[in-house]
Amino acid sequence: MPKLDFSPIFSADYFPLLASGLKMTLLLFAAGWVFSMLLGMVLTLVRGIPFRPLGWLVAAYVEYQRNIPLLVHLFIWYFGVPQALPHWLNDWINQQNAEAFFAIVAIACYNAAYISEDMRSGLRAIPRVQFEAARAIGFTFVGAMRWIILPQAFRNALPALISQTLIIFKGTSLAAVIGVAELTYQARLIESETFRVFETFSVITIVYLAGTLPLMALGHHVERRGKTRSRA
Amino acid sequence: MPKVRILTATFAALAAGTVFAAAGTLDDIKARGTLVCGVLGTSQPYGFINQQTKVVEGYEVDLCNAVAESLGVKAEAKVTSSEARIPELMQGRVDVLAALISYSPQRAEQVDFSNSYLREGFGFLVLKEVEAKRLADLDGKRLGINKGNFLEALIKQKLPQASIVAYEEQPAAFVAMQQGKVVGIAGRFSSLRVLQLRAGEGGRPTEILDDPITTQNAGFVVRKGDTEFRDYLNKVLAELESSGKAAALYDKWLGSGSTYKFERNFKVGAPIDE
Repeated sequence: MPKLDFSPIFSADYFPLLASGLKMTLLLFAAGWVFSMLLGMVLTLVRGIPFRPLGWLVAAYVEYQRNIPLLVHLFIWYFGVPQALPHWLNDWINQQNAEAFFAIVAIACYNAAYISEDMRSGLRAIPRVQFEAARAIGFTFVGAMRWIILPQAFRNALPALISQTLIIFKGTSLAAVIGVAELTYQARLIESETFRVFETFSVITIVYLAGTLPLMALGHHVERRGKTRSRA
Repeated sequence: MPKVRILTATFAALAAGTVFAAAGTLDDIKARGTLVCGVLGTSQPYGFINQQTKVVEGYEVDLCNAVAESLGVKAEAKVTSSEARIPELMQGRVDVLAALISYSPQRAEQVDFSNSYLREGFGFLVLKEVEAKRLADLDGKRLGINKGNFLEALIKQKLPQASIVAYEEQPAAFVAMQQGKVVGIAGRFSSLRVLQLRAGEGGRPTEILDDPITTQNAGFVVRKGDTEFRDYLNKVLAELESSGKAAALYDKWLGSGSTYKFERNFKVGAPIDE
């Protein structure tokens, strides 16, 4: 095995590739996170509506997303779904960065299912009597939610949400399979040009860790803080 | 960038302990009684899984068989992916790679190449509707490629305005083109022709752009410093050429004996760095 040499990876030929890959990874993560949180919230709310068929619909959605690997979802969104879209819309998406677009959609839809479950379990952990007691002492429905139920539910769900955030960050690497030029994709490109497998992948390992370790630390911190303040 | 250099030196020093020398592959193969070849699984007609028999076959698989035969051992073709091939070789899970690996001086710093067993041009298969006549007509367009292909950097150089999307395998790139996600896909001319033929009449019509991007040699790849084995492979390649077996192999998979009817315009065993 030849000697390890990291200098080619940091050379002017390849460093810009890594930098642009990191930018794309962060974009996928940020957009994927925002949209999955929003969709997750919507799903949780819809499931809360006391009308059974809606609850079933959300449950079916959650099971569909959770029982198929993200990798397959990416292929379905990128190669499958566009076939069903109208021609003009399809052409428009193809003119843009179709890869990143569908990757964000797939990541958001997939993780929203998990997030809605996390939020729901956070809500369900609050005894119903608290809500009833709040109403009894004069809180409105919105007031009881805003001041009594949601703050506790949020605190309950927070550790799970942070761990899901971590999963979203790592999951962005799968987008490489549909040709999104994110960090893993660029690493593989550099690898195939230089055959420096070990060097390339150790560099991106460190980059990924630089993203995930702070998230994990944040998770620990929030979990500890939540514990000391909760008397439930 | 002195800081980078220090960092690099540190890593190199750390890793020096784990470096092992590659030697004696030839003896290992003889002792084991099998030659393990890393080949491709989706690259018709070089290395691909036969739909009927579910066995991997192709031009490169037959080249491996020829090497095994000359050693008097059994050949074992192991399908590898473009990302796993180099680690598989370096960690000794395969003895040699015959996986359409084009020579480049950069790559040759990491592995050793045998002489050439395939010399071919690379270009584009494009949608007819694009009406591209020359390479330059593709600048600014969305172009597809398969991962692990050295062409990506070269295309960026020649067509700086184009955006390139790399898919897992060439068939996926072809599907993406059929769906209009890219207007052309790059690859070796023979592979492109094969894709075109396999797709048949259905779908959007495509054509091969004759204007080549480059011409490259491919050869066997062995571990760096495995000179004895590389020299042996070179000897086998030279014999295959002089006995006419190399030409027969080409005919069987790519030439008159195949559906493609390509002309062979290279010699097996020619130096790879030309």
